[in-house]
Amino acid sequence: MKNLAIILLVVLGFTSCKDDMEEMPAEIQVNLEFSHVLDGEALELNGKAYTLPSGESFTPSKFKYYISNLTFENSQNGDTYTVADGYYLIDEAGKKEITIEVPTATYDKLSYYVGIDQARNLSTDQVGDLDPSNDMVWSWKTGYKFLVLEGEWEYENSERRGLVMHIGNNDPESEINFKKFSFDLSSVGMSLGNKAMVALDLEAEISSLFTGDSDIIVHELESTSIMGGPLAITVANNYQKSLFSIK
Amino acid sequence: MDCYKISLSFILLAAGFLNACLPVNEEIGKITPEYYVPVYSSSLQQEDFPQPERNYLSKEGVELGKILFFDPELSANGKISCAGCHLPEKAFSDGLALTNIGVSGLALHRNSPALFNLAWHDGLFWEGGANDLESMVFGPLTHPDEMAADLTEALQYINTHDTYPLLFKEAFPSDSITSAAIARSLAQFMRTLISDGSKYDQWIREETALSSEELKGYEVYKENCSSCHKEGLFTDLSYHNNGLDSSYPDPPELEGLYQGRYRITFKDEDMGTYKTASLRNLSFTAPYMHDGRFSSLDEVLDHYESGIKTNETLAPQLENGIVLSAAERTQLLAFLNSLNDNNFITNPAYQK
Repeated sequence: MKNLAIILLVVLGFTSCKDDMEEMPAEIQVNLEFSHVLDGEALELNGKAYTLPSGESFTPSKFKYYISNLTFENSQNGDTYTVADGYYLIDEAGKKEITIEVPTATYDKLSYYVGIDQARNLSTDQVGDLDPSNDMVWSWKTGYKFLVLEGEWEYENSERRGLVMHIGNNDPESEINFKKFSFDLSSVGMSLGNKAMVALDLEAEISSLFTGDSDIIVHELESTSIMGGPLAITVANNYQKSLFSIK
Repeated sequence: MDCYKISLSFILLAAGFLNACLPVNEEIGKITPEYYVPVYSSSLQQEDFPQPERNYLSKEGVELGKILFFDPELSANGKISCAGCHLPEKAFSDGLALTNIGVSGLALHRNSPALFNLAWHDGLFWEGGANDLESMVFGPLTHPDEMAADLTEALQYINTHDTYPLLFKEAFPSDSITSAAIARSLAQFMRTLISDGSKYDQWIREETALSSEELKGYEVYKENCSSCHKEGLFTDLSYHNNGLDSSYPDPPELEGLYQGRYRITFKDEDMGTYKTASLRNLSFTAPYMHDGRFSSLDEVLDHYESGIKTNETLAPQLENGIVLSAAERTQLLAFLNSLNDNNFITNPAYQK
């Protein structure tokens, strides 16, 4: 009888061990859900007017950007996992959620870039989210727009006029506007490693394009069509500071 | 004999059986595209034929690219093909300063560039903004003032076409047709547009002689033009300010269009610079310059003689202009005439 109890115990022990392994598959599924706000209010396209940090009024019509080189890191042992060939177009008017599979391990840090690394930005005959049909390539120069914000602005009841911000590789030989964003997952209680499925909520605050490094006052701009040059660098430096927060 | 008959029928039966078992028999023997490197003349002075690893030339890819090049159905209104502004008989230029035959009907801001010997160009468009032919294609294909194609609709047209799906499968073995494959086949066709059959080329290959007038013109060319229009391709493939303008306005809606290569690199030294045009095929490619402002070669030479507008980025070779005697000008024009390649503009491989 005693022997039988031991056998049962052993069997139960194995069983529970097996259950644990089933609970933690070889890969964790991570869902990244992006939401967009302007001046703290949920983004709506083609209708709602928002207030920019400058106090000017802005009615957005397009907001889209590429996320790439997603990397999960364990800051204790330095292990990292980077999603290979991962280029994701996030579009207020389209896809705002991505799902990736990450080898099961403990990670307490997440980083990604907004934009396309130089290796993949030298040609545009590409597929998936990098297909030029996504309206994220320039027609006169090769490369992807990393982040696009378009809309109409108004200042002191002036006539509404277009604002176009197309931020990409400012100089084909540099990655100056290819910006990295890092998040401490443990501080928001989202360390990965003990759940098979994790959802991360990332919020982008569009005001961050207009303030931070250098304030953008739209009605004082020489041109409200920003497609490169020093202004694109200013905008990218601005949003690098505080575009995203993890919720 | 009987034995032979039996064997033969058995073999036939077996062959028939095997054949029936194979998946898609229409593709047997054609699974791999037939890759090749085109032949070109030593007079182009090019050591190799550059092509990207991801898109080597194949017989099938080039043939498909040619069909697409002449197909107006790719455009938004079904009326404008690539060949609408790049005519074979004009060395793939269009004879107009600034065309307005695009979908919007608005005049472009650039002269349709001639298309030949492009395999050796590492920057396409007048400012060299496109890194390769594959990426370049999306510009004219989708620009609202040119073909204005919606790539998704263009793919729908191709996918439901009688012959395109098979042609794509033969050129790019894959289950689906992508906009990248459209660009790659067009790029392959354009890479085969090689112009190396002019009298000059025959002279270099010692197949013919230049006249004494042409030979004198060759010396005038070497002395005055060859630093930018480098012999071989007759362009250094680089970007220079040749004194066309003294200021570079930047209206926001034109996205830096008057700034030349500066709009690509944002480097001060590139303000108002454009790619050196080749001196080959000039008889077919008037009018001249990035905006087609000069209708004749005499106007071009007048500009270099007395029309240069001095500015900060002016090519140093042009600081004092290029002053030729009347005799030298005639000689130079005779030599330039020897660079026209009639074989190129009539080559059946490049016609619809």
